[in-house]
Amino acid sequence: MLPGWTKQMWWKYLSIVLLVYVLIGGLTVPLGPGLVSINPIAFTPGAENNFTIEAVNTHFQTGKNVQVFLKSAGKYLCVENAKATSETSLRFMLPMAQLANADKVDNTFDVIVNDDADGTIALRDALVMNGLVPDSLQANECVVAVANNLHTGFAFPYREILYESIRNTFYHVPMWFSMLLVLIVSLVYSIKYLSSNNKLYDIIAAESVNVSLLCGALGIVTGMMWANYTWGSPWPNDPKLNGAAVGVLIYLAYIILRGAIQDEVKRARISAVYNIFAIVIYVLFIFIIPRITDSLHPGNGGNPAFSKYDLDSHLRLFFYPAVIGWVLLFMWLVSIRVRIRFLEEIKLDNE
Amino acid sequence: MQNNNPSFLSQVFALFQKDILIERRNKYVLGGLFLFSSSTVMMIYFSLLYNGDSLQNLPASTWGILFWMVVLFSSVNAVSNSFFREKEENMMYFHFLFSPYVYITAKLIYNVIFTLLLSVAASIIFMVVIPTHIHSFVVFTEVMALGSISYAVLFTTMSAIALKAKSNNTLVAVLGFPILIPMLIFITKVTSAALGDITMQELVTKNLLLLIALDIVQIILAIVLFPYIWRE
Amino acid sequence: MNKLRVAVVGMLLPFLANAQESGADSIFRSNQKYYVVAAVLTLIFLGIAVFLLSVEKRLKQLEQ
Repeated sequence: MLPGWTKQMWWKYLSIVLLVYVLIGGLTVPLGPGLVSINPIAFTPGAENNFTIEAVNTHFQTGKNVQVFLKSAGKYLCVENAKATSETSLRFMLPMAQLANADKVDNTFDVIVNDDADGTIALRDALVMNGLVPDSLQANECVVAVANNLHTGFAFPYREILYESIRNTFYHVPMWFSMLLVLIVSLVYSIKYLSSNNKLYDIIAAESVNVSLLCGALGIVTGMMWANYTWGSPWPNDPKLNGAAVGVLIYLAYIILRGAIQDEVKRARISAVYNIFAIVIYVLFIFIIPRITDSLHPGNGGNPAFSKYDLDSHLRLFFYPAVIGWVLLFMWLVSIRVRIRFLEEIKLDNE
Repeated sequence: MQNNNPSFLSQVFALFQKDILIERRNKYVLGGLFLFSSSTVMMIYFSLLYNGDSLQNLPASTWGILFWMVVLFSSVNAVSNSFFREKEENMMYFHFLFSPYVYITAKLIYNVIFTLLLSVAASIIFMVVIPTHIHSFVVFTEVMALGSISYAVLFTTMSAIALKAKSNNTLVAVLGFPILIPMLIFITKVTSAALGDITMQELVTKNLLLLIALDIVQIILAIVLFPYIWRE
Repeated sequence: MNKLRVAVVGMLLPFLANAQESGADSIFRSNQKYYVVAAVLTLIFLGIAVFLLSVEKRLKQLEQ
């Protein structure tokens, strides 16, 4: 008898609903405000410097109390004549008077803009100070009362490098979750097979592996596109990506092994043994490796933790449904494949 | 009755002796294996020599990786050979005589020792042809032992699987290599640290412990799962 | 079985389209075409869902 979950319908409808929600919402919710560029990117102390800032999705004109300041080594520098030229661009001037008596300050500055509608948005390490650091640059406490430092609208966080591609979080990341989960399903059914010799369990284990390979392939494809766009290379030397590739290799070998054995019972037993052996080593591997080497992925090595952005409540509203939706969709594929195979087996038995 | 049943250990030892006996009978197999690793080393030597690479200043990591590749191919051959040379009627005979746990334990011990000898031999040839400085002899010995155990245990299990699949060495490689990658990362890391790659020194203990953990997991899996492979 | 493969390829399409998004252009959203893309992707997904449901239905018939 087939396990009950393969025939239940509610979770299949749930996956459709969740994924439609993720597709529509995830693609249409706008990005939050963010700074794009500043021009010029370097300045010389002791001279009068004029700058223009370009931004996206901001409300410099309609938002009230636009403030601009530069930050370096915990100190703030005031600017003058901050003026919005449009909703997304600003002009300001850095007077030389302040720079004449300068304190010890790093050579790079973060540019920070604040207004009531957009909250506080920053462009990190955007400005470089040319020449020697002046002896005493007076750090001015010009940012005393910032009325509002949170963006008020419903939007995904604007991240440098990621930009609009942050939406790929709903497609790429759940692929790995699904791959692992479906592999664990196949592990469970391989163990069940070895303890019961029920042919059905072997079918479920094998079809789970097929579907997990599909998840792995999709994860690699989406990951390569994303990496090409953000890190500038489709195959960056990244342990998580390599870990996924290893998984795909292991399970291609599993398929080869199944093809190599003619006898049905033997095929089921031997491939279950290989499956258990491989999964245990593989799971250990993908949980250990990212923790001992640097990864480009968030939360590893020198990269900022993903949770910092993941914690963004707006992203979460779509991320969790996406994970559940994709996992259920792939389990649906497993159940369909299993039932087709099961029917074929019955037909063979009848003949 | 009880007394007539030899103990677990003596059964293991008997099987172990049998394997050594076979090895001694056809020495050309053993010689062939050592020739195999020597020729691989020479191939690497000549490819490096005539491509302008300075043999004296080969980076520690490159040395380690090349060395473990040589051991990899020799041990795949050696370990799978220890299974594939068994005649089918002999196997049937063992089925009646021994429990699967006895058989796999004997095979594991035999193959670990054999791979260890192979890697020691390969390292000597490698040292002579492509000289390198061993910074920490203790760590190098440890990684030789742990690496050989990883290789031997993995390929023993995979050979058992391939044997039941009525296949050949190729299947052993196809099944084993992807699973070996995790172990290989730790093995080569520790090796280059032992050869004096300063940047990795602090990771040695951590990597060695992980390698030990992976080896133990592998051995447990091999012993627990072997009865299912063994059953006809 | 082949149809299932087609469905799988169909599932790849949203990813392909997703990759076309390009960075910090302020023109990105001012252009209504973006919403057409989102709608088409949703339709493609719904098509896959309907196909899977029809497979489900046929399986139910066969199982009885």
